[in-house]
Amino acid sequence: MRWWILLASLPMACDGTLVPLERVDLVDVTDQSGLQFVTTCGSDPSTQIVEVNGPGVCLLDADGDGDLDVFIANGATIAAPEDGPGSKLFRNLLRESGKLQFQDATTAFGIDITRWATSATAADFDADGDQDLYVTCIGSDILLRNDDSVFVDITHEAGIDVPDWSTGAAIGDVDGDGDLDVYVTRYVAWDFSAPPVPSVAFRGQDVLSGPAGLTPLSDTLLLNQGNCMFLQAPLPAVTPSFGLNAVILDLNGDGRGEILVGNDGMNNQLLDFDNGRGWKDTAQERGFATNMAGSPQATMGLAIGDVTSNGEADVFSSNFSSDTNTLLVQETGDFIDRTNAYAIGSPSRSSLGWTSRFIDLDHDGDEDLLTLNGHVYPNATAASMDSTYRQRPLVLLRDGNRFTPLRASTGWLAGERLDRAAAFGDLDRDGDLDLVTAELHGSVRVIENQVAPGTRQGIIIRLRDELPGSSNPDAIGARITAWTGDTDLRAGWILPTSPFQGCSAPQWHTSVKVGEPKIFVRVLWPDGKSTRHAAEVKPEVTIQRPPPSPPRTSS
Amino acid sequence: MACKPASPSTPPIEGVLAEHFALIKQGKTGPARVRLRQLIDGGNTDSRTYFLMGLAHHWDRHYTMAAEWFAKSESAKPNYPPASHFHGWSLYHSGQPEASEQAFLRHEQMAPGEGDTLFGLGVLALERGEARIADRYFIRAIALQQDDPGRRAGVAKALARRSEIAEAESGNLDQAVLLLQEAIAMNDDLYESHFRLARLLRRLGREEQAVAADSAGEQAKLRVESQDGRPR
Repeated sequence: MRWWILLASLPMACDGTLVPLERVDLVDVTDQSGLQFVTTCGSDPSTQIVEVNGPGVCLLDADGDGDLDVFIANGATIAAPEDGPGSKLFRNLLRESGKLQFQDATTAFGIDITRWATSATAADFDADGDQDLYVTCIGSDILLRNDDSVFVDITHEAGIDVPDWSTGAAIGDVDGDGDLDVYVTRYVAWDFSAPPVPSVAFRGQDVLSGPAGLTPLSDTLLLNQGNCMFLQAPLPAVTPSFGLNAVILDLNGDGRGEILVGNDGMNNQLLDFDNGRGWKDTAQERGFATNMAGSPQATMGLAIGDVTSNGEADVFSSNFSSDTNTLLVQETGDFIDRTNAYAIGSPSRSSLGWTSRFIDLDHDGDEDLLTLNGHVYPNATAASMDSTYRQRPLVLLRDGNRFTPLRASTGWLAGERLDRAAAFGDLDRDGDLDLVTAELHGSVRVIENQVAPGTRQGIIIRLRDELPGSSNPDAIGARITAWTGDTDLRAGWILPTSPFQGCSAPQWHTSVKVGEPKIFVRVLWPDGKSTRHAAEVKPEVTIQRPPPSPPRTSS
Repeated sequence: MACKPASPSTPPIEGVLAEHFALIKQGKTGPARVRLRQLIDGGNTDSRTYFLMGLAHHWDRHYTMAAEWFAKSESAKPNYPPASHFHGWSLYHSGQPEASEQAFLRHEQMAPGEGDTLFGLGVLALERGEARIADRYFIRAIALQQDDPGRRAGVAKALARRSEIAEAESGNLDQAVLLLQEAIAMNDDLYESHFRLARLLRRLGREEQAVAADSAGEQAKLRVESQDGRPR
């Protein structure tokens, strides 16, 4: 047989594959929702790196009514970085109106932040039953304590002094004392009065400069001392880097979280606490620092999921255009680049990715991948950079042992924008994950997941640890495995802060066959203790941590 | 510029086009494009003119533009097979894997036995998660190039990709290490292979060798980047 005949007969399974769009139904309901807001991040078009990352989005239950409200960490301008149009908190009126509607309640909640904000993280830092807000800024970070739905600035009394340019705040228990610590990723040493040279060459084009060539900042680890008091931990062995996001997760089961840090164009870091030597970076030895080729990537987004179904956390990162997004899976404690094996790389080469999340969009029981995209260079075109300025989101549907791109021709998924941050949560409390996105120099959007009820239904699981002495009531960092009568469901984690400049609701989502009466759940709580539960299948399931069993007595 | 004259039917680049080709090879892509544009505006519709225009963009990493010119070359006369090969790579780099595969397959039909085309098809299969198909392409790419001293870099690339498959598909780390070491022996400039080798050695507990591989990778990267001359 001639070679070309042999070649022509080879299967081309991925060629032209079109996944039926009706399996995923993400609908832009911004207009109906009343959440009308245009973000600020310097001038449009951007001329400096400080103007390209965009705003932050955080979902939280600010008023304790059970609905998810929306906080937008809004930017400002280079001319007036402390005096921008302000961050906003929109209240979800679902409980009162029965509809997904939002109302600007910034003032009512006591929020008055006009500093250039970049992201926000909601967590119950003082374990008093409501969610507080840590707002990262360019200038100085801000901690707001939630006192009966009024947010009070306690930055100074809490011992927080994080200056310069912070990009995100990851939460988790890194010292094993049970409460929520904060790891702040920081980016570039930035002086508004002396911005860097405006342009450098990229692909023969003049583009805005940085972060390469600028000075990276050291990240900051804030250890919660209880009652919203924080102590800054020294990180002498951690190289200053262009930090964009981080995840705190107990990878080795020792009851204290390791810190996975995504850096822009520099090696990623995996910070592990060594009792004798403090925090050390083990990313290089564990394969987390770079992609398979040994190249540091941009790592704008980090997503955590159990792709291999081995119960260990795998990491997806979204990266720069002409590079690929990357999947690192954990095998016996090491991270192995499996981008190609799962067909992750090719579909992302022309995109510049930001927020990413593993999410069961089509309710088929496995986790798909959603990445928001948009270039940083206003002069990016297909001709000049093989990548356009405005870009579509990328959905990769899990299809057996690979991911297949979904190509939408209409709707939100087909729109080309400068999407950046997003936060995920069940806004309308129907058992699936919706999202709120924030576009650079553009609109905040409410995207409702309207996946049609078919043979499966979605479930949102929330954990509550309200035992006496608990200081992590939302069980941030807990690992969940679930199963129904005849099916093992995948594992997941309560990790609200993994996407770029966003904080999602502390919820875990899965889907089960319609008619399943019960879902069984095993929770590995952040302190390493494990419990089992059975719950009736319904859109929302809340699992309360049970008191420990009394010790058995022998007769 | 791995594409050798693909078959006796490939018409040579000669005359004034040879001068423009020489400019491209020197990295003077702007002047080359200006002169090629003058030819095209003057009515020249030769496939080789379009090909060189594409090649000038390809050199500058403007792959979308390059793909447009390679497509024009493919549809012009005389039949010039290397255009399909480079069209495949430019489509690959601009994120169009399906179209890239079609271009490579067209080249393979016109000029069978080009190792770098088979390598490209292997890369595409690998990125689709079809490791066994990819491995067959890489084995063929190696076989076609291993006796040509000028194609050591091509053999090395394919060996490195086979190593990736050995690691990912069969979990055979020792085999993956051997393949990478063979690849590096063929072409010490493959810095990605040095870094991958370092990681594999670490997984095997050979830390001292891993450190040496990382160091060799850094040196290779500096060497390659200083010699490249192409825009980054």
